Amino acid sequence: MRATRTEQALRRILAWLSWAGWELTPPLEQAALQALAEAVAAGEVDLFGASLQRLRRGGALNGAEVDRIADNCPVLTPPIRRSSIGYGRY
Amino acid sequence: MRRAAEALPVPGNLIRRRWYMAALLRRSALTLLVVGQTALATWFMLTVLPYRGGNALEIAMLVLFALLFAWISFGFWIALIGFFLRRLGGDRHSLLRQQDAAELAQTPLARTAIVMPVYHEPIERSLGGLSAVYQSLERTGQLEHFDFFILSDSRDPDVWLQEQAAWAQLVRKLGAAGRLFYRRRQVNLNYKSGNVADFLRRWGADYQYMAVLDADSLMGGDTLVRMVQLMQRHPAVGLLQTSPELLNGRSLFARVQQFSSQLYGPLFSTGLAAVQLGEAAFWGHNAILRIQPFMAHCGLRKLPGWGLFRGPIMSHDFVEAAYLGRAGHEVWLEPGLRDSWEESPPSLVDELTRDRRWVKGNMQHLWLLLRSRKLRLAHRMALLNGIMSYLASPLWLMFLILTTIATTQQVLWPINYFPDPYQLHPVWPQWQPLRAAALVMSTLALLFIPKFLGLADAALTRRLPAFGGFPRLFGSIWLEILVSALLAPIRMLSHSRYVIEALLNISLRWAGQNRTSETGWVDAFVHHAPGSLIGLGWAAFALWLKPMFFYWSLPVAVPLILAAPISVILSKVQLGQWLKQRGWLVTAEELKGSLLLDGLSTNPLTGQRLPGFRESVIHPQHNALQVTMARSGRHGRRRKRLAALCQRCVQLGPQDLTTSELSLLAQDAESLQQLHQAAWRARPRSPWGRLLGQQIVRQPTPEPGSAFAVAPLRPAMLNQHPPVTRTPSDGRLPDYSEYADQ
Repeated sequence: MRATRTEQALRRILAWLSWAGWELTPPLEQAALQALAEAVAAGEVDLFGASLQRLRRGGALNGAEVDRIADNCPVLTPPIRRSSIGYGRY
Repeated sequence: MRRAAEALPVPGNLIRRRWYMAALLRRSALTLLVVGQTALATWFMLTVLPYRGGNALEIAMLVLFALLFAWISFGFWIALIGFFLRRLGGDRHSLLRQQDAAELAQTPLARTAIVMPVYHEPIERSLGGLSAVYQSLERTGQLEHFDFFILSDSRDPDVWLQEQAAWAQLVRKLGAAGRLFYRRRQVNLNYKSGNVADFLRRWGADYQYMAVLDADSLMGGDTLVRMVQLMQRHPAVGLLQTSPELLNGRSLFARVQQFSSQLYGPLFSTGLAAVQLGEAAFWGHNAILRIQPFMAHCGLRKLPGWGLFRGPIMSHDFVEAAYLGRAGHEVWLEPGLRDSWEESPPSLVDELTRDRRWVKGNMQHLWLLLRSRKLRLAHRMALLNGIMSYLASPLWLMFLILTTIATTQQVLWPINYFPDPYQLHPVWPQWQPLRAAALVMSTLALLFIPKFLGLADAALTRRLPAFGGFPRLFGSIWLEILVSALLAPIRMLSHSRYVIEALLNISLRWAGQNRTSETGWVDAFVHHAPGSLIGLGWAAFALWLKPMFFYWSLPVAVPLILAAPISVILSKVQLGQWLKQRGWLVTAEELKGSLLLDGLSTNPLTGQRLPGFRESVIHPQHNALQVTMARSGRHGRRRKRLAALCQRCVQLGPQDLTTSELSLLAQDAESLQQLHQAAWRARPRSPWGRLLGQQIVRQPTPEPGSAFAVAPLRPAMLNQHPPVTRTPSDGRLPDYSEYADQ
């Protein structure tokens, strides 16, 4: 049987959470299920997005590793100090 | 910039420097030896020819013979000089011996940038090598003086996104934030030299010196520290080049090259350095240069000529050394600086692919050799040396052709006893096979004596155990000679073709290029088929013409005929490793190990699955990292274009976009974020939905990870992009293959 829209959304939510760095503990899974149930009940079209939003609002995603990446990312290059190059004659 | 150049300290008069007179004497002696030996051999050749040089054909043969013999003789004498100087404990004029070691060690260091230009390189190896250099410098306690720059010119987003992710991981693992940087040019002008120039324009003013590494380079921290100290002590030196040896060879081909570089290399580099002294060449990497004069004098204009001699200079290094010399700065090759390494191409096909680029670059130097003003003679000779490295091949080929014509004439044409209409006495043409054999033997002696000098050098410096002991070393030398003899005709024919292509500015592709470490049979046969047919045809003609000529042709014809199997067998890693386990073709570092090489084997990037475009869109952590590093704040028409591309990418999938379109998206933070959100919301049967679905099925277990050490993916669909190679093969990228190793 083909997976329903809700099953697809749940699978994606759990995958996203685990790849984003959360450990899928029973309370988190429960929160995810709850968020998805609410999104379905509210007749949301974007179940995945709405569920994640609900999880965030509920504080289940606080201290996420994925949110710290931007703060911890090293500086790509130092500040530029421009100078020029002399081209040799042939 | 002229003002900047004028503000530079003017180095002292070249003539007054102590080494200059020694260089003049040595070069004069070398010229006498080479010319004298060549004259003698050419006279001997004259006596071998049937008409004693009495017709145009024989004169042409003599000229070619003289040129080729002089080339071989030059190599022989360089090795001999190197051998004797090493017996004397080194060259007293070398830069390293102009102060004692204690004095040198006391010299304070200065800000130095270590730059590694990369273009579609194997990321794990290139950044792993840089990590080993970093750790080696850390062990010296002098890391604070050095900053590291990865200068990428990669165009394929699958490659440069991986480079960025690998850089971030490396910075985290080494604790190198603010010391190890990554820069990717948006516009790739003027190949590698343009990439380095771009770095210098932006950050050159922050550093006094710049050490240049190739993607496969490796240099010890102590060596780098000593190089900076030498530059500090000798302000007239603009560039200091080490003599890198080969390492890390796995295939039989690479191991043979590595063995010869480590056994014979020191002789040649010592000899060459002794003749060049302060007017040496730059080999493009494993060198340090003084940034101020380099920036003032070494910008490379496009060549203004025609065909090959028009456009950017492909092989920049020799030219930069010549320009530094022209500005009065010294360029030194210092073979005493050890712990400087690079890698050999894994197979003959890879080497020939590389040589194709090098041939073009070196042939371009013809224009500079003849037209450039005020270059020092020594640097003109260095340019000529580079040109002859490849021009020798068509000269040899031409010599073989003329020999065949001469033999054909002698066998098929009626003998002309009176070639000169006014001569009174007949000329009796006769070949002198014994004399010819003696001439061949003496030529072979010039080629092979340096190899046994390498053996003697190893014995006298008590390095025999480092090569596995005398019996194995002796056997390895004979194996190397056999391989060299087999490779010489194949290289000759390929180089001849490349030279013709380069001079006519055309591309005569006759086969695809092998990019894997081992050469497949089909690839090898396709690649070498024309050469094999030429060899077979020539041998058959020789047999039909005259049995003796057939025997003469065999040393050249047999390797050409068997080029494909030779190429396949030499590329075998298993064979190389089998010999290594038995102590054949081994080198000192393999037996005794070194901290630097250990750093390479404990590469922090080993086994890491780095994210390409698809992973950077889908995976939340990869996406967050790439979004942080991408540009933001694009407005107006650019934003509209990006939005349209983004929409196309969402609807049709990444495979519908070109490499440059994907690059545009990947370097824009908003687009990456939008794609991430769209991919996770995509309908299951859409392109992104399918990619995501397969990912989820294949990776059911969550893996703990940190901000940058993202869990390795095990993608199937995501991995549809081609493997990273030194040169892209998808046909959509610009032809930019002149970059690598130039």
